[in-house]
Amino acid sequence: MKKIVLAIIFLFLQAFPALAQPSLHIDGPEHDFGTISQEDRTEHIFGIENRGDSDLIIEKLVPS
Amino acid sequence: MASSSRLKPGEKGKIKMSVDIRGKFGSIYKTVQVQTNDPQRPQTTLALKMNVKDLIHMKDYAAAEIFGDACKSCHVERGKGRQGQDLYVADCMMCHSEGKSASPLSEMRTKPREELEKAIRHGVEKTAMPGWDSKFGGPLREEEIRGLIDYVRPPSKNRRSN
Repeated sequence: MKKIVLAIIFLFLQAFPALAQPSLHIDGPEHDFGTISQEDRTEHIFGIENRGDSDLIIEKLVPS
Repeated sequence: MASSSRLKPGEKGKIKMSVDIRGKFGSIYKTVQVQTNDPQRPQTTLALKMNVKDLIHMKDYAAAEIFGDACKSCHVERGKGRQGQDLYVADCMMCHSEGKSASPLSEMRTKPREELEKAIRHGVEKTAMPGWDSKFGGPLREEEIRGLIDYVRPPSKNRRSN
């Protein structure tokens, strides 16, 4: 059943390329360092993925 | 910083984020808003959480070290060019306020002016209070010291010491 649904979705997307969309997926958008000291590094790398079917464009990163 | 600003379908990327915690402590929550062309989620928030332990102030320092390289960005630089109350806020209040290690202003105002003057100029032995007078190795010049004494203990309220 699942396969059929996926196949239909696939065909649908093939037939209507205008509906192709990018889709941003982030692995864990919040990272908790826990308790650290002032000498510790606070760098973190967030893994992202485009799970859509057209190009994903990162337009802007706005820090708080 | 993002590794690339454009990801093809199925492509993976990275966004690097860091927080400058120099001189900060306690609970910190920093976010970055990611704006993309994803029509479902045009804006997504990344967040970094941390609780920074104040190790710097847990060590036992000699009072004069407060003017040294490791400490001066907070304890000397902030007060530069300031006078009176401004100088008090920049240089003194970090220790001299309710709940901190040193006596709050309300308590210092009950002490004789000459005692305060001596403490400000020369520091207080066996405490973290350093001597601020430039004649004795501190960062403050004569007029700054005088302004500070006048702010902490206004002369009109204690005639007997003058």
